Amino acid sequence: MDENSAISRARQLLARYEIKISPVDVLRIAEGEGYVVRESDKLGDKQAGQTFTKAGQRYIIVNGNNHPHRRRFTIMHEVAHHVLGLPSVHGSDVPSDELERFRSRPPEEVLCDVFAAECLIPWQLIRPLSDEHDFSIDTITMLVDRFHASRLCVASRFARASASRLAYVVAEEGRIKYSVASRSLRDAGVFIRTGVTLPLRSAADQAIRAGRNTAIADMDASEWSHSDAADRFSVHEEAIYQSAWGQTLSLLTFEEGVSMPRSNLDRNGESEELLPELTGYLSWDKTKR
Amino acid sequence: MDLATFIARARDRKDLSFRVLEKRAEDLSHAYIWRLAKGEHGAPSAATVHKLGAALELTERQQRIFELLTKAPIDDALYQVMESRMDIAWDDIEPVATMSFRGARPTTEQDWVRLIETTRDLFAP
Repeated sequence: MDENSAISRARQLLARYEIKISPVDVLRIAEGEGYVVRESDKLGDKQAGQTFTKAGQRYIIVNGNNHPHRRRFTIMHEVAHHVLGLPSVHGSDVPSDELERFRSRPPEEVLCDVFAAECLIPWQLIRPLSDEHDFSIDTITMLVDRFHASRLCVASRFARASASRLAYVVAEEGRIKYSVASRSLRDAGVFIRTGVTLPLRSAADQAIRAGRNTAIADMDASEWSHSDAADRFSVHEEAIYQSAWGQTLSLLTFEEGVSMPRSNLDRNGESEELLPELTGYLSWDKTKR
Repeated sequence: MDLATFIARARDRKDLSFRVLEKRAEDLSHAYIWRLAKGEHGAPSAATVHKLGAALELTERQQRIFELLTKAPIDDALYQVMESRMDIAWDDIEPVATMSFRGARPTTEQDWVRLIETTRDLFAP
């Protein structure tokens, strides 16, 4: 099974339950799939939930101490195991911030996450919203409230759904861990590599250095992407810094043909005197030589 | 604990040869039982498990464990709880034996007993 199959099965499930509004009623879906969902406040920090069968009845137990958005995700993740017929192969623990952190996970679990994200933020609902709104912190905050899903989940779904040239980038300790680009950005030939450091003076970089929760920056797209096509674009970035995890979330909007003023600092942080723009005229009077 | 080890231990406990088991288990061949005991055969049917359980003279609790083992291996610490803690009802043990975890799994007998109690509490009136 691949991601497209998981997404397709999620869309079939949503159609079967006639899901047309947000937030998606995950309890109705879980119950429809034969589960009784209960919360327990006795699960440890390293447990997001459990599923089991008792007297022929299937149960999903979610950690009542987790954020409600995480509990919704856990429910849909467990339903995904059932719908996709994939075994549960979690590691020895699933810390409470699992969904917000990036570490290697078994492919079965990743597919169940993809399924859960598709169910929580259905394509048919996010697609028009991604056309109507800018890719901004305000928009993501508004959509988190609307879909009752995590910021990461909303932002990555928005980037995937948008017809604009967008990318969503997550970095930890200043290094890019994960990026999602919209189809049109990929079609334009602009790709963002993971495993590299954040661009110097990007909003994310500035937020880390200043210890601020948010920052905004505009710069050349070539600072973010080594693709040749990036030279044609500028980038508007809004970044959120979550200091507890050393994590930054960058919302990037690419614009074509807009030249950004060059930075006064080179990549080593040293001052670089800029030459005046060429006009076709000499800047001195040659008759006075 | 896996199915093959469980059958081997049950045979040893009663000192039963495969030939004797074949006679006791009616139409099950000793070759089939031998492959099952070596872990070289897939999950047996419910009828086969019942016949073999009777042939191995399993207790009621052991028969339930045997049925679970035909589906999946059981964590060794949980197996010890199943075998030794007869004061815990099987209906309270079975849910945790079939549980899939999104997070930390118990690794000691103490952890399993705690999980059994926590799960039982979910259904307390």
